[in-house]
Amino acid sequence: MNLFKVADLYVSRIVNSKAKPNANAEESTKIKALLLDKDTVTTISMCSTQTELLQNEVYLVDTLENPNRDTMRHIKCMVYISPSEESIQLLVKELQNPKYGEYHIFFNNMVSKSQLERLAEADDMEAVVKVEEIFQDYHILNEDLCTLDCSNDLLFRNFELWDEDGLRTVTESITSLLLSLKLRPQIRYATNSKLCAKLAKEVEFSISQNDTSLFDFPTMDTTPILLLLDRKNDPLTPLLQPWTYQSMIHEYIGVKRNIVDLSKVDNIDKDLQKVTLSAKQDPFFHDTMYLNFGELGDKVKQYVINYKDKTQSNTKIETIEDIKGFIEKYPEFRKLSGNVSKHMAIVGELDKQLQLRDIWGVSELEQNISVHDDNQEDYQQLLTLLDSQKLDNFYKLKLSCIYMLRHGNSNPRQMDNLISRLKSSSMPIEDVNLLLKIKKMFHTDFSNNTSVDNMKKTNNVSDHLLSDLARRFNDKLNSRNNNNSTMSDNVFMQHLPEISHILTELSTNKLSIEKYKYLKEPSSIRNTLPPQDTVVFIVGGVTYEEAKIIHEFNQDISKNNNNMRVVLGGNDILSTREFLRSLRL
Amino acid sequence: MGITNASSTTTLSTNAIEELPINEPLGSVACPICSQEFINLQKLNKHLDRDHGFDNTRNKSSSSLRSNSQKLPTSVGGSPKKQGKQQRIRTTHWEQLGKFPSTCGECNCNLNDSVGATNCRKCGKLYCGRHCRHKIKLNLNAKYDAESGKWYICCKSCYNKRPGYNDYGSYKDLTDDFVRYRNSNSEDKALRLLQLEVRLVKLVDGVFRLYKRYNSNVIMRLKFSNEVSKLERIICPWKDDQNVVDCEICIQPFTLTVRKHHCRLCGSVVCDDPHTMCSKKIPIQLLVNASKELPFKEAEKFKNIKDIQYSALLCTKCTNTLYLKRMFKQSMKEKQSNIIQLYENMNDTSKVILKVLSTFEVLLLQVENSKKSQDSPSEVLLKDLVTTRGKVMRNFSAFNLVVKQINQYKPKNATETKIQKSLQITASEFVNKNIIPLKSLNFNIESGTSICGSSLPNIIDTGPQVKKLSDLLFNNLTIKEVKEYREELMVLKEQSFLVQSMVETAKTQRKFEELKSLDENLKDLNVRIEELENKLGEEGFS
Repeated sequence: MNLFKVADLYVSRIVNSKAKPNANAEESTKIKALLLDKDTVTTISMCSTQTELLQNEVYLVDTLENPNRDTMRHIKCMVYISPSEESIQLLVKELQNPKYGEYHIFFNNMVSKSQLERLAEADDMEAVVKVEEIFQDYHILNEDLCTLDCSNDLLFRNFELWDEDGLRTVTESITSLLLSLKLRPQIRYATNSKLCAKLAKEVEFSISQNDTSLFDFPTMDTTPILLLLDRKNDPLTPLLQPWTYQSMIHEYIGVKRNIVDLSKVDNIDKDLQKVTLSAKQDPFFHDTMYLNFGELGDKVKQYVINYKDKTQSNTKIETIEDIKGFIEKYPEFRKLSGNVSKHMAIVGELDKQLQLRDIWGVSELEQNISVHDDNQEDYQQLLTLLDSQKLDNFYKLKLSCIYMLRHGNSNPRQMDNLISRLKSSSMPIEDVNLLLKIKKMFHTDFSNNTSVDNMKKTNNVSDHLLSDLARRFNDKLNSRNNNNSTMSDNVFMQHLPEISHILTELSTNKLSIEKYKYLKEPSSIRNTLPPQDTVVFIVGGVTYEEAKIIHEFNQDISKNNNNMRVVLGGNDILSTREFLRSLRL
Repeated sequence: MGITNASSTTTLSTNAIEELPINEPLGSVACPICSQEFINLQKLNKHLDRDHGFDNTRNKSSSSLRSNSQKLPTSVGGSPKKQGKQQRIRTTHWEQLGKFPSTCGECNCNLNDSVGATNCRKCGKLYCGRHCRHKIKLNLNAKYDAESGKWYICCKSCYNKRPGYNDYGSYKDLTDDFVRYRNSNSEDKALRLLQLEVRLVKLVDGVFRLYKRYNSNVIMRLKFSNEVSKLERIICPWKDDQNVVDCEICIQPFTLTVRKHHCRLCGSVVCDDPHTMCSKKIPIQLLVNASKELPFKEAEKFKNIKDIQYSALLCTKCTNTLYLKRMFKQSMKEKQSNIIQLYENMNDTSKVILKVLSTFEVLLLQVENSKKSQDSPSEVLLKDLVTTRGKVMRNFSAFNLVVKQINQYKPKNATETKIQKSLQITASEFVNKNIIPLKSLNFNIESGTSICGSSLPNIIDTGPQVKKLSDLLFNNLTIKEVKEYREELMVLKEQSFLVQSMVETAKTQRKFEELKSLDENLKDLNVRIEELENKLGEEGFS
């Protein structure tokens, strides 16, 4: 279940499209144009490169929206668009007066009958030779992570009620995700979430609508699972400061569709103002994206040393072999030098931001609060940080949020104390109100939830598993850190996202049916084994920290520790700021 | 047979049980394969024997595990067997343990009792206990059966190879639906087109007839326009324009400046707003020329269409229906743009280069090998090498020429500029990949070699390393080389001839921009020809 492979397959389907499967090579020309719309431009740019397109004779890429395209009748045109109203309308216009000789039309999701009829009506010239639906109505970030790029405020209000259009978009996208992975899953969802329940029903309806035409896959020996989770059930994870490379870039610099915007960095080189960072195309990033900052530092150092070694080896070219080697590596070498400076710039900026905002202190405290039982020491430290003049208001608010979510119910007196202290400080009143709002929003739900200490009381089995997992995880971290690290301890990564326990439980068939209900209760016989393929979708957005958990989970397959493959999806990728902002609305 | 009887199964089961949570209620055990719960171990044993094929006694000869189990004392009496009633999975394809040293198919460790040898129930190969833990549904013939099979353990490769497990990327071809929808409308459209065509023919023929009749003198000519308007009203019934307030195409209301007009072919009322272009006056000459295949009776006889001063007013709808498809088909027949031809040249040349290069590399390797072994390379080999080198060089020069032409091409529009850029990138990638590595053989590294076509000429002249080698052997021109040069000369002369003819056409068509670049090309060619001729000297074509 590697999403990059899916994307590659689809891209090659588009660029190598032939009118008829047996069509002879006798064609007027091989030059191809690729015509995209605003949705698919992103899809293509995130999973393919110019070089790859050029290798397939795609010498012209343009958007359907661009009206100033020239007529080139001898070019084959591959149209790849989303079946949205706008794009269909534009394509109708295009077909009425075709600019290219031959059209191959691809849709990235299901197209309706009426839309198809409209296109057919417009195609007087009979220029269309192929129409095909492929299913990639989502953006692929990692090999097991995808996003729909819909921010929360467009989809629902107060994490309670779906916007109708938003619900349709999300349903369609999830359906396309399932189709592209060829899964016909059983749906499970977080029982306490209205959003998930509604979405589950919609997805199931969409599947049953296309049961015979599309979801006609051979039965597998275990039924795959689509697990719908609600961000509201784990609000802590997106509030904590992240520490993996990928997530830190998102948190402190900002990355949108694989493009990192470094233009705000001081003294940045002109070539580095906007850099692309793709796990698929950048092997260094692929190796380091899940590492924490300490490990990352070493890797970058290593990378630079390697680079220097290579430059030095260039100076002593004496034998023919040296020259041959150098020249053969020359293009690769240039790429390498570009990549080194790119990562140097990013890591440098991250380091600066961490120092500037005093993240080290904040992160340690928030990790402690989120993992420890309520204790005076943490509380006192919280108060010290709240009084600090240096610290940004945003982090004060966030710290109080975390404290409230963790201990607000068990310790209302300290909470009141905290709020009054915030009120008297320089904190804007809206922020204090937000705190109260969040308290109300999560008051009932979160106290019922499997937060760490609740689990201790209620569920011994899963607690055992959890702490065991946590111990292993931390041990691993320790052993890594002992070797070579700037971080003395793993205090910054104590908290484990909720999804980690859910996956462990799911893979051993221990996931509570009360908490994560089946939409359709399966017959007992088929349910005897844990699922082998699972798609987890988090309504309300995912974090890169969770992507890391998924990645590690999938890695375990090769070590024979589990048999379940997981793909994670979310309507958006959250940063701490993004999450708090979406709560504010 | 219980699990305690067969050592390998014991290991497997204990391994599996370790996976279970420790605080499982005592007395209850779950099957490691299908997670079904049992009240005690005996029940579980029975279940394993029966449902997962762990009972090895049935097929004594083929079961490799049996030999091990015999060494161990049978400690437990075992559960009562229910042989014969239950059918068991096929075991005849199992690999046997013990006859020769067996290794695990996954980790290659030596298999013995301590690692727990297990047969994959599907493929029958032997694995150690750690690498045969996947579960798969099989029928009694040990074939994958997701519907009615039962759970058995299997190896990783069988697990991964299950049909549908690594399948992805569904798609749905809608071409047939699309064509059906398109055809369902096409009949109406064809009828409509036919009607318009018939009217057009009538109109044009009528105008011709009238022209013939009234062209004789000036007074009659005045009558001509009158007669034509009469004819126009006969061709198709004009709609009553009294009640029409808006243009039928652009829906804007008619005013003093936006006047009403009747389309001469469909009779509908449209405006003459130059911005919306709802109607247009088209000269009769154009009408005829754009649709020559229509059966005009009079037009054929009539030579000087140009003299008829008549333009028919047509609405955009009719113009589009009549002419868009014609124009589309027309332009498809036209000669394709030069840049596309250039691309095709480049594509062909690069294909040839790749082909020749691969043979060249093979030969080079052979020569190097023979050098290493201190033998002097055989003469045949060297000759081959020289021929191939010549081919490579010729093709490179051809490639270089094409790239030059691409670089010098003046794009006609923005799209061509884009294509030109893409072609340049492709060419430089090709050079990077194939030519630069070759060049290195000749100790000729220019720092920061620019990858664009401009630096390419050097490559041709320098040629690969073998030149030196061959120079040692053939100081003067050999017959082979003469042949090569002659061939090259011929190619070049042909090319220069082509370019010259292109120059001529450019001159006649007054495309002076192209002329400039063509002239440069020609100069380059001539220089190269001269060089070759000098080299050849008397051996050249006389």
